[in-house]
Amino acid sequence: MARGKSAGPAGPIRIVNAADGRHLVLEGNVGAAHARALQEVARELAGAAGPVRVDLGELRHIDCAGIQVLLALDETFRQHGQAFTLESVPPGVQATFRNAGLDSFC
Amino acid sequence: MQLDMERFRDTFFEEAHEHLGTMENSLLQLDEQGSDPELLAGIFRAAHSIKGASGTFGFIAISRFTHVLENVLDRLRNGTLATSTALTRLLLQATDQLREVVTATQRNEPDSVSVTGTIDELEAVLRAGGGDAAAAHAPVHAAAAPVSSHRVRIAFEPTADFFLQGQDPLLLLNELAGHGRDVRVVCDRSRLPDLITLDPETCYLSWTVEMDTTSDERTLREVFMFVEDACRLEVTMAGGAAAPIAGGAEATAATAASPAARPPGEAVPAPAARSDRRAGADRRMESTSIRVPTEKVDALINLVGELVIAQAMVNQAVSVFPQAAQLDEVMAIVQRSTRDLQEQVMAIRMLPIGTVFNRFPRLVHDLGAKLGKRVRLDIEGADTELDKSVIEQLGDPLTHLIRNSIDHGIEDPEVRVAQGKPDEGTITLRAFHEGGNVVIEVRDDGKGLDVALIREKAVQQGLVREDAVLGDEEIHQLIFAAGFSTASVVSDVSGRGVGMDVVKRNVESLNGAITVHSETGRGSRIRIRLPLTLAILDGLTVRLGSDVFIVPLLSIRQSIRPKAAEVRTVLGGQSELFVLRGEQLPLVRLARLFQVPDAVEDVERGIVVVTETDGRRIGVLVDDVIGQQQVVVKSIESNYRRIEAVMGATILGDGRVAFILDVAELQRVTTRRRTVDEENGHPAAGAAEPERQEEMA
Repeated sequence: MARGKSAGPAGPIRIVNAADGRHLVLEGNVGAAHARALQEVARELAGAAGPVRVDLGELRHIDCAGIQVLLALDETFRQHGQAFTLESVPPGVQATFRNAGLDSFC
Repeated sequence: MQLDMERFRDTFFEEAHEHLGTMENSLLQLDEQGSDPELLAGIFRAAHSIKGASGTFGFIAISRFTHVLENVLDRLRNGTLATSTALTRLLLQATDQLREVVTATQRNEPDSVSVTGTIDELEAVLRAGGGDAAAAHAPVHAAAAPVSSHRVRIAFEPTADFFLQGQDPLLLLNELAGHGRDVRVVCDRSRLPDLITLDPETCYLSWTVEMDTTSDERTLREVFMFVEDACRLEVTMAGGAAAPIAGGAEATAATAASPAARPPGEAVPAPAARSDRRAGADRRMESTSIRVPTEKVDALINLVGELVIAQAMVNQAVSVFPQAAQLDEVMAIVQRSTRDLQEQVMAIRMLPIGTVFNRFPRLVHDLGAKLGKRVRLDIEGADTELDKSVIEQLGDPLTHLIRNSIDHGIEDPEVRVAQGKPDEGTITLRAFHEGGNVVIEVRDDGKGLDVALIREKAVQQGLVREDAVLGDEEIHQLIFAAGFSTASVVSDVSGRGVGMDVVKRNVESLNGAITVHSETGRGSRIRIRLPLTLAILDGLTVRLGSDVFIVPLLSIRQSIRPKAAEVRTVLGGQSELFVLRGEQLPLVRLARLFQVPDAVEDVERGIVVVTETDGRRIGVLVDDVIGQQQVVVKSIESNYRRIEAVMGATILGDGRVAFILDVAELQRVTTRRRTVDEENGHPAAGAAEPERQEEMA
């Protein structure tokens, strides 16, 4: 995934403006404390046109509160017929999704 | 609602340290008494709690390490691994390292502690195939017949406020997945709202899990044991009915009977294992207590202190009214209620002394092993309560005392046996209330203090004269002298000569006193007497001119009206000595020290209050003694500035502020001024009177 200038809140959640569109980048540990910030960023993305990619390459851990926001974002994009994909999902995070019954999500 | 994770984070670290303490003490008990299901369940629960909460906060280093540790504990708990001294040692080592990881995480340096070696050892135990660790901890049921698996269905619906309780359903699902094969998880997202209306702190998801498992229903329910009140849970074993949990009451009402043995239609009861009963008891404890920041309690105590003072002022003000008699009854009620309120508020800060005693079983265990001695620690009166600030400062002095007992007191096993004693020495740590104080005793059944050796060393170190006549009790007290040590070799256990004097200074800084009693060949007993709290102090109220001062009662030996002939001027008139039954004490005129203008100059019109601290006595000249009273100690440093030889202040009933003397510092100030005077060429007391100088020494 092409990297570009980052915007949005500091910490584990970033929006990156790349040549191929806007990316949501999640890094490190995304827990309940970040869920509201994630929701703000997700709302911003949901209002923009074009596909959204969520880069989880550097994500070490995400909890249920964070996953809920991603699920809601996914649903919003589906309703608007927009593409929404998770990319570079680390094996540990994949296992978390699998154990939560959300394998199809990633 | 904004989720204040920082607040939860602090609570996590507090609780993690408590759980680690529980693990450590239970492991030590396990080492002593062998396998005990109750102890094993408690250790497992503590590790499980740390793992669960650490995952919620994303403390990966803690949760990964605890996960491996928990697996070993789980096998110990279900009997597929036997307890052994080697395994207990490994688990204690793991507990120590986990504490380091927790502390490092608290400092935001989670990766600064390497736990790879311990994890490898724990995993070797789990593999239990080859290698040293596995050989040392062979599984108990290696030859047992394989347990048949069965299909189970679990419906799990967290409550909406699940996240706000610091819980993460995914951790529970991860753990549940570890119990089976062919795991099928279905997530129900039907309640998830759109992105705009979604509240990120509300849990909208629920799950149904189906899997093949060899675990019984009780084991599966234990995955959820800390969230029973925060979810709806149904466990349906193959061919059986569902056993729902919708809160603690139903969870504890059921039993763990086999589904096949139950009549059709009867609800499957929940397990009634001891661990569950304990969990229920813990929940009841949690529901009757709350965590409150110390600052809030301190603010409350401060306000009540103000109220006590205000009440005393009102009391004094109304006493001058002619109708005072009619007010007497009302004032008595106000006074009583204020006192009760103060006692209740002070009680909030009280903690059981067990919170500090609990660290010593490990110290005794490790140090005994290191020195090749068998030592048992008996703890009595762990429920005795003391103010939190006092308890926090007790750890170091008690550590010194216990280390000394093991190093110097308890003999080697063969020596004990030769003397007709059991090869295992006993140290007793005891706390009890006595006369409004708390007394803490450290007693051992070792060899006792060697009076001849102490005396010899004290003479060598210039602490006493060679021809001084001293009784055994006086010689015992020499162990508290600064720099005194009888050890010929400095070790890392004790013998650096900076132990007992530090202990005494620490105890005195808590307004306490320390004494020693010893019998050769039978052991020693060190007794520390402490006030219940530092916020209230028993003091002697003294007058200086129109000012009032408070002298802490614990430091006072006696008060006496002096004769002029008993006061002698030395150091070129710079200092004075008070002669008390032949003993010469430095005399401090408080009025001069604090520049009180209208105080008495003629000593025969004043009173000498004899105080003692650190084994040294001084006379303090005041105008008059008003009486004894309990005062509320206020910090003068935080309200004004630090004043030499003053520990704090209090407000009297008439509204005046009275300084509370710091007798230990007064002693140091006096000594320092004498030294400066001597360096300036003034003759020392003994220079003019050699006989007195010797006595002073």
